[in-house]
Amino acid sequence: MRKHFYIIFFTTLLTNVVLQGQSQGFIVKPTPFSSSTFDEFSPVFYEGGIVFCSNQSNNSLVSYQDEQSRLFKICLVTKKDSTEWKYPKLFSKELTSDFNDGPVTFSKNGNFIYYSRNNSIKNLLRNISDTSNKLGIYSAEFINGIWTNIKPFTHNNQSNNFCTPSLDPDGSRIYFSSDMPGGSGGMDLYYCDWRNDDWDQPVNLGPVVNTQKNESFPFAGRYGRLYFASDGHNGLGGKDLFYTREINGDWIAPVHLDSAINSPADDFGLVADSTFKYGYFSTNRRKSDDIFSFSSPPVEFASCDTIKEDNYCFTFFDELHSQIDTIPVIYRWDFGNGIVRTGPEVSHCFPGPGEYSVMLTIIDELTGNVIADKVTYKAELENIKQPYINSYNVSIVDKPVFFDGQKINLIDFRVTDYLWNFGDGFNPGAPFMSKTFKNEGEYTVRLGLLGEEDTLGLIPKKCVMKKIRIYDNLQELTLKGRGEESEVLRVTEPVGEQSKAIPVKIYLTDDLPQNQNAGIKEVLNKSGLSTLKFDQYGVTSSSYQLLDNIAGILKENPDTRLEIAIHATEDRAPGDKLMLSEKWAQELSRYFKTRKIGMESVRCKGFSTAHPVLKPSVSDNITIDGIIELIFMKK
Amino acid sequence: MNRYLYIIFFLLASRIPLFSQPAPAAEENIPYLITFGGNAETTWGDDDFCQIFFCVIPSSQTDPVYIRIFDPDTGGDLDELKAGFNTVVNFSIYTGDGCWSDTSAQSIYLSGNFRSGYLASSKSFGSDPKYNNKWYSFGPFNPFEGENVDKLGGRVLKIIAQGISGDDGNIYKYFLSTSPSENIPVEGGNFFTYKYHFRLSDDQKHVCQIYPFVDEEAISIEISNFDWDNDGIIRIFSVAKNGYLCDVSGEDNWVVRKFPIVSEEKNSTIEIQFIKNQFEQIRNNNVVVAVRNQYGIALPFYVIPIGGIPVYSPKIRMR
Repeated sequence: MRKHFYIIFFTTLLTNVVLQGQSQGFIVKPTPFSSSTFDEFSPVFYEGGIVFCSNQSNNSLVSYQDEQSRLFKICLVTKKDSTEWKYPKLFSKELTSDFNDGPVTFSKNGNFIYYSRNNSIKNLLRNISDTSNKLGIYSAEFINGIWTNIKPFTHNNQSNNFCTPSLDPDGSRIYFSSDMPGGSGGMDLYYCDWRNDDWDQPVNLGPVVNTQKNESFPFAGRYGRLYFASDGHNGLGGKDLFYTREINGDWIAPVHLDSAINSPADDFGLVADSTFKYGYFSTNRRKSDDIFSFSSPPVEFASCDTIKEDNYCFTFFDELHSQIDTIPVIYRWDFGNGIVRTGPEVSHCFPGPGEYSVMLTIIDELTGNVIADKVTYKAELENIKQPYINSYNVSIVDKPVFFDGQKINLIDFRVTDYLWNFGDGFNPGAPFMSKTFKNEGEYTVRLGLLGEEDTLGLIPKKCVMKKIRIYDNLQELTLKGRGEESEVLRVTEPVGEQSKAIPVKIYLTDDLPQNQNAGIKEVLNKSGLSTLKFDQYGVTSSSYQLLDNIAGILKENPDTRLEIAIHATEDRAPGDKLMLSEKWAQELSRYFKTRKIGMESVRCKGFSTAHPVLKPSVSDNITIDGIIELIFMKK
Repeated sequence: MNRYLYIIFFLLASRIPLFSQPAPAAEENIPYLITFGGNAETTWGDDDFCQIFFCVIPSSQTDPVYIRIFDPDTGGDLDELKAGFNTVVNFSIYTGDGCWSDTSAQSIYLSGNFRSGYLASSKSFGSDPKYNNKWYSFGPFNPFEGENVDKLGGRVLKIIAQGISGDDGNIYKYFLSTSPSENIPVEGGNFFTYKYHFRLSDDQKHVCQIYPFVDEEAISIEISNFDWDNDGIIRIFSVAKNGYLCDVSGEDNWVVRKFPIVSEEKNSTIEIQFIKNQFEQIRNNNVVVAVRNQYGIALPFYVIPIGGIPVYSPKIRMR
């Protein structure tokens, strides 16, 4: 197949829409293994080296030739040392056909390769002007030092091209380009998921990504970024590199890569490390196709705000009511769902943001008459407009801490990139990250978000931070006495309301003085309770004793802080679980608020599943369901 | 805006049909008015033996009206006997300019020319079975005889009941009627007073209420009550007050309690509620009540509350 076949499919002259990309200062230079006379393109990482396509004349098997009588073969180049490269060589004889081979993609362990090539590789059928020999995707397995077991991709056919495959990092999805019918026109990007030991039906990435022209050369980076080349989206000219990301089932509008990487020439075939700090891409800005390297400056955020916790717990009162006990009236507050609280001032925790109606009825205690009947108050609760990091605030060394950055509340800010800074600068990452800290101490974790480019070409940024305390160990306190439930229990409260008893695990950090440590243990053991119970109103009265003991500890030890992590029960829909955990966290906050314990002394957070408990002996693979962890620590 | 414009507005806008009611009106749940003879002791619940009421005849009323008094005599089983009936009480009707607008007429003290205006009719009643438990009608009065007060939406007549002699309590009530022989209400008519002398019900379950109108100048009011005899509690309701307790007077003394007025209460009616002692039955309790603003200007009690009975509107807040 001729090089121009690729040009037809992968390189299209764009209209002269020049978009002056905003350069982030990438350093771009040609690699030493790129020649000025031959073509090299579509690099991928492989065992410390780079596998790429080239028509360098390093063999005598030239047959199905391009205009300059050169075939594209799969080549490998490895490093001589930290700066020098060896001379490229043919990657594999087994994978070399008499036609054009490549580009390729490897599985994570390097034992599987997917590559594109012509479907028919019999010499007899070779015809330089024959365009009916379509491209297909093939796989091979590396066994005993050779590539073998070459198989065609399930969806190959003789009528359409399937090429430029790219496996995602965990190998469960393969991206590729194809001109199969049903697309947007030209080459389109598709993916197939691995299901039931085969690749599922191809899925077109849709019109946000695919255009009437050509989208190809996908590269599935880590953390969900999909890089690709297109001549259908606005760019600097020719084929430009973009990336997109699937968020909640939708692909975001492609983001044009840095103007140092893209050029008015054709830029395509990119590979990058997980952080996008360095990588390689293909370009014909020097006439022939060459592989260039790029390295990026670190992303910086001017300032990071400390995360503010959302609060859904409020005290309701009648501003006109004089707080004198000589007014014999009953205030009855109806919060809906059967929740009624009485008193001139009541506290209530809403499950989350939204619009709520609170109805107040005031009854004259002396006459029984209704003074005010169902006076309605509309409460509109909004989350604080900020990125958010949901995580433990406390953990132990060598235990992964999970950070969830998905719970953001920003208007007109569509996230394109999550950048995490665990003390080593901002690096691209996924919305959900884990980090294992090796040493005890206090760490500041920052989450930076990049948004979609605005009409002025500016990329909006947001950043938040939070502090994480890491301890060498946490001393688990086993409460003595009754209520040693190890599982979630269903009990019936005297009022007939169904409630749930959640086991409590108590931990003490090693920075608490011994006498304080002993005092806390003694007080907690007095309650003899190891569960907290919740019903629809919140925490039930049977839990007050334990909570009051905890409140007492915090009052008597003003230098002590309590972190509460709540993992709600699994018996609801998965989507509800985080909400339920957060609701219970709010209820506990409310309870401590009524006991005059401020947020500086107690913080309650709700989590969904999959968080291992802090107990070091518990495997990280175990997901926890229905548990409340209390961690007493020094402020 | 002048408070009187508010009154007119409320008179027009109120959804309650405004008919001339007895004074006291049914809504007040007050059985009767009371005036003691001029020689009575104030310990019996009347501080000055004189009650001044005004009646408002709406401008639309052009036919004659009558002021009718029920049980005007001082004798019989309704009135309060003190060792033999010996009391004479005079009822006088005043019309014309000044009958209301003279500041003395609006004072809670019997000083100056509180009998301002033109004396249109007057009659004194002693112990006379002819009027016992019966209605007596003053009139007819041409409505145009009343003092024209645009601010109040009509013409005003003044009725002064004053104990002349004796020490018994004359118990009575009024009615503004278009008929001399029966009580036919005057649509849009109303009674008001600046100092309310009345007899409480003996029924412990009865709750009496009176309705002063708070003007727009008020930033605070003083509620005074006389000779409450510790008969339960007195409290205030308004759009912004949900039962504030008043200090209560004991035997033969005045007690004053000041309350702030918030913006929502300006140009609105407040309700003063009298709840009798639930533990001890106190009979024949007479009480005098007055309300003044921070300037000492008396506020009128309308028997039909302007704007209707106030309904407390809580101001819900969350923090």
